[in-house]
Amino acid sequence: MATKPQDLDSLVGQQYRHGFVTDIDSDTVPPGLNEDVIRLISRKKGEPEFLLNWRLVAYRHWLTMREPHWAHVRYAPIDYQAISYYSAPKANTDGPKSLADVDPKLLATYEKLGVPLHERARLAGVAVDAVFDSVSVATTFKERLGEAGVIFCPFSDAVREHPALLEQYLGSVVPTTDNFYAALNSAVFTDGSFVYIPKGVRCPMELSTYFRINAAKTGQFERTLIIADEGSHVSYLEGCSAPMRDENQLHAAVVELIALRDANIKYSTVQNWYPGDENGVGGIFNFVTKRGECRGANSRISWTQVETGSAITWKYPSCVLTGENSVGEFYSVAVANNYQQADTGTKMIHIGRNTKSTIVSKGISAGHAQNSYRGLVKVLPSAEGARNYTQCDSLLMSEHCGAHTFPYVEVKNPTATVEHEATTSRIGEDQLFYCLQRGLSQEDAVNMIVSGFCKTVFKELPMEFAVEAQNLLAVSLEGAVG
Amino acid sequence: MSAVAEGTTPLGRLAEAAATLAGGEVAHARRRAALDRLLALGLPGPRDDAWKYSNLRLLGRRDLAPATARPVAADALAMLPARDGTTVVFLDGRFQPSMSTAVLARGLSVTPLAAVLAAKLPPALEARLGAGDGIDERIRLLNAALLVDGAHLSVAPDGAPDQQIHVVHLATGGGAYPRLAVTLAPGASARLIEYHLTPGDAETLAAPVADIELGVGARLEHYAITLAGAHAIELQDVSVRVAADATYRHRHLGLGGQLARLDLRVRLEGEGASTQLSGLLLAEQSRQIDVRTVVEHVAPRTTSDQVYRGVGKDRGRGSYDGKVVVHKGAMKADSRQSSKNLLLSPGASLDSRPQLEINADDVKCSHGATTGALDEQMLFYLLARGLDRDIARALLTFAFAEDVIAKITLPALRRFAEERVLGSLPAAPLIREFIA
Repeated sequence: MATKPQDLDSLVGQQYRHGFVTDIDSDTVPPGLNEDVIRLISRKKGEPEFLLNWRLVAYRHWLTMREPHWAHVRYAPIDYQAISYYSAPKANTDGPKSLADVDPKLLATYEKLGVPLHERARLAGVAVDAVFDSVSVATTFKERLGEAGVIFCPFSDAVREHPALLEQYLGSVVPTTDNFYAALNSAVFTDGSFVYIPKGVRCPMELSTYFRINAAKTGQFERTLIIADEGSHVSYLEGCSAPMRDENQLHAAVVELIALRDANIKYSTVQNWYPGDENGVGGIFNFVTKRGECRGANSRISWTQVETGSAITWKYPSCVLTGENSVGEFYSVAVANNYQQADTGTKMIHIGRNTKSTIVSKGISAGHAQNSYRGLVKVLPSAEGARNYTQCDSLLMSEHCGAHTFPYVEVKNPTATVEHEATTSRIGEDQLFYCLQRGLSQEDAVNMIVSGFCKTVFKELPMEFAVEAQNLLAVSLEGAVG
Repeated sequence: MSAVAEGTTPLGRLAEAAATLAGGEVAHARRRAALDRLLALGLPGPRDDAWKYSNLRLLGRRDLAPATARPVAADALAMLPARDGTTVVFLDGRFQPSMSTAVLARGLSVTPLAAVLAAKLPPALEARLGAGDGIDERIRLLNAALLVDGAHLSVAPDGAPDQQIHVVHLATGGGAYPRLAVTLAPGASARLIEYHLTPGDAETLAAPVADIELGVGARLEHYAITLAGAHAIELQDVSVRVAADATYRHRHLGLGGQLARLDLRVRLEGEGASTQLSGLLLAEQSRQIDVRTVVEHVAPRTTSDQVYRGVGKDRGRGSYDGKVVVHKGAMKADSRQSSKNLLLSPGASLDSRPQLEINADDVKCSHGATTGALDEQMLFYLLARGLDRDIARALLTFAFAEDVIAKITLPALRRFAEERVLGSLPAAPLIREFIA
């Protein structure tokens, strides 16, 4: 392990590639949170009565809740009154009719991110519902999806066009009272994505959204709702990147997935928000509630995530396995470098008979980072024949970092089989030696070993994401090994 | 949990009980200090993450006042396995010289605490009598607030090697709060065997606390055998400090009680220190058995190994919550945890939580946990060879428990443990034949 300190410094000192601020006028509400702000958000978005009431119930409950501190993370207290709760790009009253109508500056932003909207959309056959700050500005391939009967639109459109679906499903997996951040999100969410796949439809393309955080001091409160009706099939991709900024930004999203009988939802995330600089200054606070419910028999929900960004990640994509024979999966790679803190994992709640779940979690810690896996596997008395397999491995790449594992296994049915395995170690010197001896550079050798470590998760990603994830991993860990 | 109306809540009644205890000004002040702190903290509740599996509501109606030792039958110890070496008996938390061995093994000294407690002690000792450094201050405070007796066991460097020290805790009703301090001099070795019994099956609450220190190169094999009745609550708290090259082993057999909980903290403070912990949690009928361990690798080249097996039957509940912490700089730490749970009845539930907190990179840590029913293939194998289904199940259950029982090095104790497990199984004579 003979890398010289100066080499490390130059490598670790890499700038965040996606750090820039696009200068667009934002229609921003002054900082602060009270019922008037919520009414204003609701009015601005032209929401029906039930949604406003729903927000207010959530807000009133939120006031009674205390910020959770059980996660293995540390941060300065957040002043919720210093955040501006609404921000929308201007000149958007009519909405762009086509890509040509989209603000060119916005398109340039995606260009820099390596997401050429039009090209990528056509070449990859991906419909992109690009979320810029809080209002969706471009949606492609709408017609093709429309032919199949798939609804894929910004949340605010769904509020206007499909209020019945919303009223039926919104908050049915993550209730407004669920946790501190979910309650906050329910009160103030501004936009997000809505997907409905009708009965028996296999979604003709992979759906994808890019989340961005842009205007200074606006927390993002996205809300995603995906409903897969009986026998349908959908794969949803979510990718993120945010500009460089010195102040911490709060992001408290809620994602709800509902799979009815024989439905199949695959949700993939590549998260690359600004992690703060090498001294731990700045970066995004990513406090997200993601949960799916396999409501019908034989349904399946699969979460795959690659988490490389954010100063703090607090995220537990979960599955409630209610339907008989339903399947929940969670595949995760979490990378924490410098002063990043990640507390992530999953919950698998087995309620139905013969439900199955698989958890594969790979944590990589470098620099002064703290990386925790926190997971719950709960088998209720009704879950006859439930089955779970959990594997969580941690890789340590510096003597100052931490890797922690907090699994909870709670079994209340004797026919269940639950297995949990975890290992923690650093990159083997023998492995490294083997690669170096065959002429690989230390960086390449480490990349290769880390890729191998993460392979079981990467192979679950859709192809274009897998490539992106691989690159992201290499960039995130450059110079991390000494 | 803050505003406590005296006399109505468990803590309120505790304050009343503490006020009536004898022992003079110094002992009283010491208890009062512990009580004040406990009143401020409150007893652990269901909202405490570390106590979410233990049901302390049972404490609500329990008499917490230290029992005035009732006489017990002379054969109270007859049910225990044959014992060599020294036997030290506590009756309701108080040292009983009449039931204990008069002539001690070479190098062993036993100092009853009752007499010592009345005086002001050197700060180091005083600290060991307070909350000390257990996992959870509150159980230690409970003990300290009602402390009347205990013993300091000390083995000198020239003590008889591997000598057996049997400590028998008898509880006849009400509360018992014995405090044990154990010191092994550098190079000394011993086996400490603790039994917890409730003759007469009375409603009891015992909160025994032990502080153990191992000198350089010392070796201690510590057994904790819970044989209490169906109305006994037992909250054991053990804290161990292990110096360089010393080895501490803890073998826990949870075979009784209504609610039996063990909080065990082991700090590997010297280079090359090691610890091996194991436990059998036999959660049958309506018994609840919880084990919580925290193993801290403070020094480099320390090793730890944990093996816990839970068997859930009837409406039994059990949990294993084990945490391994590797401190900064504890390079080459090596740690393994294995927790397996066997569920035999629909009403039983077992939870496990093997946790790792690692702050150094050059380490090897792993854990594995499984929960499930008996393996169908193994069952089929035995059925195919003509075994009755019940017998096959019993045999496999016994084999599962044997993982832990096999670690007992004292033959008499091992046979005793095997019999206790067999006693709860059908076809015991046949299995006896198998293992003979």
